[in-house]
Amino acid sequence: MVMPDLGRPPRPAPLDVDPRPEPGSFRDPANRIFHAGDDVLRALDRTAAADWRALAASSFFPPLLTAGKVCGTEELPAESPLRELPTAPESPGWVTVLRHERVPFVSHPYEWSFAMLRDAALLHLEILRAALPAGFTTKDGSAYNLQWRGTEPVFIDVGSFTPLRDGEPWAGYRQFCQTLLYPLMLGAHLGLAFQPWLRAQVDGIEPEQMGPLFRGVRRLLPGVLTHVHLHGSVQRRSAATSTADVRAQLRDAGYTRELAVATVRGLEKLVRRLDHQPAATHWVDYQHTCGYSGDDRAGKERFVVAALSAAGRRRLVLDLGANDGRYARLAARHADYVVAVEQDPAVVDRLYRTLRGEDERHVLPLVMDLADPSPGGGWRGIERASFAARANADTVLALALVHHLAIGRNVPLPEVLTCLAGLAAPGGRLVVEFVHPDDPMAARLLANKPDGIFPDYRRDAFETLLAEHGTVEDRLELPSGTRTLYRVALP
Amino acid sequence: MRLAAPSKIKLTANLMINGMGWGNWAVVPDAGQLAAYGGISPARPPKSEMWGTAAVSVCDGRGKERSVNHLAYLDAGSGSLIVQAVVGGIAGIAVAAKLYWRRLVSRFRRQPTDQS
Repeated sequence: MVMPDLGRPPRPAPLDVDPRPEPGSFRDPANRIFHAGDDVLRALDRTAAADWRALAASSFFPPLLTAGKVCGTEELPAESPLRELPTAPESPGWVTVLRHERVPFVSHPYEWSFAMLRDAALLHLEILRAALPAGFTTKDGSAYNLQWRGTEPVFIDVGSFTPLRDGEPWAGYRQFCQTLLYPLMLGAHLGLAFQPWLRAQVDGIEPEQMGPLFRGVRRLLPGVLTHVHLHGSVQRRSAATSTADVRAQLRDAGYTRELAVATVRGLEKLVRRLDHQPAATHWVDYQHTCGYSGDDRAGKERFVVAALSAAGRRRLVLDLGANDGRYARLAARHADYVVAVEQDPAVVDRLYRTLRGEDERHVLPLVMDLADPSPGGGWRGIERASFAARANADTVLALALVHHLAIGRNVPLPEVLTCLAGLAAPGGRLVVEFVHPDDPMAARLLANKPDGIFPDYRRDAFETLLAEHGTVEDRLELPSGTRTLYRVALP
Repeated sequence: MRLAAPSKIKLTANLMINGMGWGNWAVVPDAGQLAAYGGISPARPPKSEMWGTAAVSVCDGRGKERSVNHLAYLDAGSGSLIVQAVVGGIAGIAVAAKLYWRRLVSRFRRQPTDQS
């Protein structure tokens, strides 16, 4: 099996850490994900193990693995100590254990831009279209089946593949609509950002929620009449009929595998039509309007490069407030993986499209407002981990960010630094830029606030706070004289 | 729905392996054999289709077959299944129409009585 080299560190000794079940992997009792050290393991029961063996021997699955479209997967040998995974009480136990390629940084669909969600949807459909003629289908159709290697989507839910019963439609269609198709329709047809919808509802957008948004002539927009209105209507009328009965009736009426393939092709065609570029905002041109001189830029780049190369190659770098990704790209030369976080969906969408065009696999752009970061979601609030729980960076870049949080969003300066330091792993580095109150950009933000509201927004107060969080290893005042960069070693 | 333990499966001719064709009946000897499909590969499609899902249809005693698919952990949604036929093109619309026609006809079909 293919296990792409993502530059991960040497594997720790087996079972040096107790296997821990992944909180987001419980819906399908046939298989469950565990974490053991740096290993990602999938335990399979007897049925799922049989599915896996059939899948591994199939004609369509190995090419998808080789192409990197499905995450690298291998079956652990029977003697591997990693196969000792906990089982639920009264469970017959796991029969087989798979080891998966580790995704460099787990992200959620509500952190993706429009083009990212669209590419993820197209990959899901491509995989299903390859599986159907080979006699396989997927049990579900969730956007959470997909993750990223930089700007390359990857299907991670190997346990979702199951042999296809002729004459049965795709069980994952409704999930696909709710977590992928409908959010894309919101963007493409209405120009709305889908991220808040997906963040609010782990199961995605219901047809009943979509209906009122597409009244009148909007019903005629591509895909709306069938996938939204007809879908919702038939769903309501069929609520009392079991899916088992409907499956039998459809098979009896002549539903075939070819029809299932035609449906997937139709969905692919529709998703390709749903292209949309979020409207430009002032953040799109921020790099040109933020007032940096050429000397400032050059000095800042030298400082960032020196900070990243100071303590050996970095594994994970977080670039917070990444904007056009200038420093994220720079960081990617000195790190295995860079997560570029930016609050504006339009900026992230442009960055993703650019990076995708360059086939960049070491930078992952994400949409997120640092003043309102992704919370824990789903069951008990841990099914989908919060951003803070996932962030464990070797280096955190916070360039031209602090003033936006401290002045623009009224976050107390000590809180800002506690947050930034908390996103780094123990012993990590924080590279932070302080924009002085007399800098034109800071002055512009302060002009919209009452005088004297931020008495501690001063360089000396900032440096005192930095010293409380770690050791300042390096600093540089940019030639303009209104911005200072710091490299802080965290304990 | 989980497949019952072997002893709980009624080993009579009212069990059917899906994929053998509607109306072709076969006895399921035990659940172990149901799981035996795991050894197959798509290089042997006929058997794969026969055993490929370990799913059975069960007669509910009123002459109505119910599909039991213990692999489907997700509620696919009855309406969502039907809509897929419609979005599958003209042939799919014909399938959906046939499904609804049969439902309509079955409403007016005279129920058999003991006397008849």
